[in-house]
Amino acid sequence: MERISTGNAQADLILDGGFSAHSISIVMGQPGSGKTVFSKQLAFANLGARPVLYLTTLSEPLPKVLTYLQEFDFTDVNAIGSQIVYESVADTVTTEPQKLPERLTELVKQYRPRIIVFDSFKAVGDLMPDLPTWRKVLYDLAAILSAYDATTFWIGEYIADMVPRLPEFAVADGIIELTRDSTARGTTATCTSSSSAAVSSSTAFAPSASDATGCRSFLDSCRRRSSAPGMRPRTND
Amino acid sequence: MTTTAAYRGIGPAATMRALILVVERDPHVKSLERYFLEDAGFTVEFADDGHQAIELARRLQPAIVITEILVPNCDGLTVCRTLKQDDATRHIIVLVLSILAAEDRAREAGADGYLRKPLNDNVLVESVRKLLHPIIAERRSHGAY
Repeated sequence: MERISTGNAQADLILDGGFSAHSISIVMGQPGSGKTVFSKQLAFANLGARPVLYLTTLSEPLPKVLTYLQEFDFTDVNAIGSQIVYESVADTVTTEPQKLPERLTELVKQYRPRIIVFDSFKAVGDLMPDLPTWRKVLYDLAAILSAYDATTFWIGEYIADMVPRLPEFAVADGIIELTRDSTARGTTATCTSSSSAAVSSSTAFAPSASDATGCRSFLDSCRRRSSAPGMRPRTND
Repeated sequence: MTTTAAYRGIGPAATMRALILVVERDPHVKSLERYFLEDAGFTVEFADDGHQAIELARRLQPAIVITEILVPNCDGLTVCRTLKQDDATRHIIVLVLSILAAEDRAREAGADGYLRKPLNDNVLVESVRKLLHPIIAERRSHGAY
């Protein structure tokens, strides 16, 4: 099965090479847990002939995102605008949220992306007028994303007790949770994944808080944790 | 991606106006297929089910039929077999484009090519061009294009 690298060797180790291609994964966690850095590092790790389509909603203004993005070592400024395309769907989700699938179809036709990132996807759900509308939008989004050869990431400031309540978690193929842990080595993040798309289940890594290198991981921690049942660490790492 | 027909390369201009009949019921796939194929210079018609596909293929005589296996009334493999057994349609190229891993079954049904979904526009368009190459070349030699 084709894999999409995260751009982080330790996260790839946990995910058995990366995310399953063509899947829809939710990257969740509280503000400051490193979701956006994680997704941007993933985007820059997958530069190629077909672009990464990075869709902003109502989380952070695009100029702010781009300003801080350039502080990271993994950022290739030359790729921005061509291999990584930023588009805002804020107008659609605020004025006619039910038309988001239509807008996505237009963007897929225009850019033909290999990877699609929604940041923040939770903001999209928050702006839906009611649950039936949100379920219909989710169904159509999933149908479009399944029809086309792309791998999708829904980034959101979700917390654990939202998982059984929010319909997007039933639609997604996999879930990655980043959590802050200020009790060890300063601020750390833990990644837990579960999925129906063949990624590792219930595992963890311990990167530092985001620094200039992106999500930096501690290999010793990763190796120790990867010996847990259900893990399949690479032998060459 | 796998296709079973001979590939000899073909340029975009040579495929202009070739008619493609697409047998597909998923509205999102239909929308994307129409856009990408028309953008590549083809003319596209749709059939919503297998029976309609056979009827339209006989009447319209498309250069190629692209069919999903999972279509109503008469599945895509039966469409393929029917077209390949009929003197009026056996010359029509059939490309199976399916969510199912069914390359062997497609070949056994007489398909000229097989692609697995999800839809990749580059792979689809290039496959169609290569499959159409012999027809385009022949029609060009007769001044049809």
